[in-house]
Amino acid sequence: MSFLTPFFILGGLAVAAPILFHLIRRTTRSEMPFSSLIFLAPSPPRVTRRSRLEHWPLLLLRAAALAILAAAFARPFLRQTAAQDLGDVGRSRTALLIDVSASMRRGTLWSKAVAKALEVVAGCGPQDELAVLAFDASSRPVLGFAEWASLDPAQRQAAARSRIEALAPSWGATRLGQALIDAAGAIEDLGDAARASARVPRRIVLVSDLQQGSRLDALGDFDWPSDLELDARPVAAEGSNAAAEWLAPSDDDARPDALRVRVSNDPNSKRESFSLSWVDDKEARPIPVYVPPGESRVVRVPRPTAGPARTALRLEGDAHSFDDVLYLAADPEQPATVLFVGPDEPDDPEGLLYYLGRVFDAAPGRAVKVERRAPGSPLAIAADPPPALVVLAAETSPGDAASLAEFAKRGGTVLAVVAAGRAATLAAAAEVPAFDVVDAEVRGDAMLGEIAFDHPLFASVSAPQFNDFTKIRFRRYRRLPADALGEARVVARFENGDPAVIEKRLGKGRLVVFASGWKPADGWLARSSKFVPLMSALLDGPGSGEAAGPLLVGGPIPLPEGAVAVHKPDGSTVRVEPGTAAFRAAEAPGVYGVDAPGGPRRFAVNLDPLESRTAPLGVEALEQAGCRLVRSEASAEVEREATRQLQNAELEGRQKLWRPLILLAIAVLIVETWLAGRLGRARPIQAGASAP
Amino acid sequence: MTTPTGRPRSPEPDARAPSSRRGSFVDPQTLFRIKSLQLRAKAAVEGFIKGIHRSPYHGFSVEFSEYRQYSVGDDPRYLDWRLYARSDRYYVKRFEDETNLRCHLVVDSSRSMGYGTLGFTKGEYARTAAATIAYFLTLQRDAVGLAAFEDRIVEYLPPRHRPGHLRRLMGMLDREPQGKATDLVGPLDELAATVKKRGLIVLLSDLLVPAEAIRGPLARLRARGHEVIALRVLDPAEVGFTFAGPSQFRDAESGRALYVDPDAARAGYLERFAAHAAEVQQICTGLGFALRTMTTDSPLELALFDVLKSRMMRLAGPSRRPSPGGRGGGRP
Repeated sequence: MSFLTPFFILGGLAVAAPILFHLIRRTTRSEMPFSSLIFLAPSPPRVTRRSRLEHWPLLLLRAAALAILAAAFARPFLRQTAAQDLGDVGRSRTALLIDVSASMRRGTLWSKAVAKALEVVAGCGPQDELAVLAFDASSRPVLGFAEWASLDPAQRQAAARSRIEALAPSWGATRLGQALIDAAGAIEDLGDAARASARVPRRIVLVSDLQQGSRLDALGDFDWPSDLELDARPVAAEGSNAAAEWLAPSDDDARPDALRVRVSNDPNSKRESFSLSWVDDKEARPIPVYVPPGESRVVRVPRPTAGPARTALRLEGDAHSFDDVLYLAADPEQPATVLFVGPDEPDDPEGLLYYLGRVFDAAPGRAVKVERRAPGSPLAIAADPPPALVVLAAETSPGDAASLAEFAKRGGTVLAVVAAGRAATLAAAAEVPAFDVVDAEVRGDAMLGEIAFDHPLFASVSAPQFNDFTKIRFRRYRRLPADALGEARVVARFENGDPAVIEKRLGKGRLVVFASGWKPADGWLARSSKFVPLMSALLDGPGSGEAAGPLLVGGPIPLPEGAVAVHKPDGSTVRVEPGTAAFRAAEAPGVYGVDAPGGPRRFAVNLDPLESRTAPLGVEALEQAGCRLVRSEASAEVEREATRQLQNAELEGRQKLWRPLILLAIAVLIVETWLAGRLGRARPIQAGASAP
Repeated sequence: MTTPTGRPRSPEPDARAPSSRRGSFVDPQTLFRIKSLQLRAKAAVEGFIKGIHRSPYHGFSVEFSEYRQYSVGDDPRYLDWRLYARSDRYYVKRFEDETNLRCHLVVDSSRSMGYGTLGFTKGEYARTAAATIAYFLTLQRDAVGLAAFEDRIVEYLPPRHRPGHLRRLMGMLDREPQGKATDLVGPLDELAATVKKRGLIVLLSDLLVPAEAIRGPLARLRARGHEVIALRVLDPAEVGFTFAGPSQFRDAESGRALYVDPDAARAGYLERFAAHAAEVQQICTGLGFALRTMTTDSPLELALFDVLKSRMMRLAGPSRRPSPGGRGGGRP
């Protein structure tokens, strides 16, 4: 029998109290009035040596209750039942976390990392548990705890060695914070699975270059386990690194024909002069770049002409070349087509078409061609490539209405700007019965009163600095009957609750209805800054929610409708399942080709720019992020003692012997109360003092 | 200071005196069966006078007359030759204005006086003693006044000798006291400020206050030329602490309770009580006062001795010119 909190046994000394009270003669209840107490001092309770036999059971009960309570508070546990096997001595559980991100490609870094990892494996005893995890942008088990345990102890180290030697650095970014959380989770899960032995020393051994671009932000809201230690074993590369990065073109760029490249230099760099040159263009002159250590410079590189050449820009003069090549998909995008079905002339500023032809001119990096279809002429929607948007501003034939519905179902967007009267074409396109549209009564002007900013149409203007729609006034709008389109979503409403923008999903595509147009007679929508993003969102089509921006290794590559295959930079080809929206196996930087119905497309995938920030982070940053770093040898003894205490607490927590003891104490106190009551009734009240 | 018998006085109460000396006096237990205070006083005085006419105080009775013994310096013109012929002693005729002793009976009516174990309280005993003295002095044509006090003077009757005065005084003494805490300093200082003419002050109290607290007021009374007799009234239980069995002892004045086991506390109590009594005695002796400690089981008449003795001493001064209205006095 051992005790978790033995100091509480001192509470057993309270047993002396009932013994003393039993020796004290009962205080009389009699009261004696007296003239003055100035000559009297209080008498201490007199201890009698006469022990009355009938109080022995009561005394024993009271003493027993106190002793049992003291024992319960001392939290007893039976050590022999624990019977920890000798193998627990010196046992530990280790998760070996190896950085395989792109920055580990520098110099001899990888070989150093492998050597350190093998040291950890060699230090494992036969009772130790080990898991090996590799991580870059995500972590993946190389050798799990379960597999380690299932292996023959003699084979474990060899298996771990071979797996580690088979590893190679990838092109991925470094998400160290998430990797540490995953490793901690692997250890914690094992602890949950085997509670009996969960209290062995646990640690994560991290082999990494600990670069500044390691992304520790995931640790911010992670509660690091108190008994889990992080043993960071950084590896360092000689020399410094410089990196190049594409910058997005700005709208007010004075030279839209040139690409902007930012070149950054490490703070501890010894080099300052670099140059940029196209890899597959030997004739072009290199562009010199001067970047002092710790600074960055933006240079302009002439945009190459379309073609297979000039897809890679190399930074020369850098010690570490893993991030020195920037890839560019020089293919201009396929021009998008917008069909306008309506009577308006392109040069009539009172019509819709006048503004439609100009709103897409401002769309960056996008060639949009607006084609007019007069009412009465056949619609003739091309199947390959289909138009990006069909604007319906007039009634058409029933056949054209059916082709509009078909176009929408294949994934197209139909924008209907309704006019007063019978909306037969719109109803046919929406596959609902025909209905009448009436002009709403507008006093003065109307504003939008309710906008669903979570909808893709308005998502780009949902930020507080952009979401002021009060300046857009409508002089006229049309009112549709309630539920005219069947199951549809009202995306925006006027102040009085009438629908302003309605969206109805049709197959893969959609039908969007504007209750008011952008003609000057209808209102000021065309003159508003919100008009361009609204029309661009319509052009993007449904389901085009992926973020526009540079494509990075490991990130998704959006695939055009009907894509069948992806050609990787290494020459291999990956077949794509029909309906796949994005290709997620871009494991290396380079130019990826996509076979699509509209012709082959090319996408440039580059390294994550953060991966180029290779300056060492310092182990302290891990501690600041909340990790508990491994302690020095000086506190090893304290640690062992703490471990022993933890094991004791574990045993006691499982046995919980205090519970029956508390119940026993309660039972004893109940018996004591009953017995004291009986004795109290039986004992005559002692007479008070009598006067002489 | 000595008693009339010449025996040195000790702080021990005279209850401890030999019964031979007390045999002629009325037993207090018997006396207190008389309900009327006035009758009680009368019985006590009569018993006292009877006892006086017997030994050991024979000859003393002569002093209860309108005569006093001649002393050197008295005018020989006022010698009573008939009395000389009868008693072979020189006596001087006294006149009415000389006989007027002014006496204040100062009675403690505080809560601690409400204690008693003999069927009557110390307060009742003290008021009876005061009534006895008043009755006796009225017989001697002296002016008697009363001041009853608790923490202040609650009843006051200035000294007079006129018809009905004794009845008023008895009526005041017969009233039940309110019973508050004892405070000697305030009432005695109040009295010293009130009483302008010098006289005899008989203080009846248990003096159960810190000894040093009584020194100041008594000294101030002394400084005004008053004669003071302190009659300390105590219950036998207070003197001997004859209790058995532990009890919660509750203070009559403060209400404070103490758990006291008498067997354990007796020695310490008696020691502190004796030390306090000795201190009070030393203060009174130092100031030239008489202090008599009386337990409530001792005869009331003993109180009269000290008053009588003091009266004699006060009236033993040089005689004054007899007033034309002086009355000759017969012997009692």
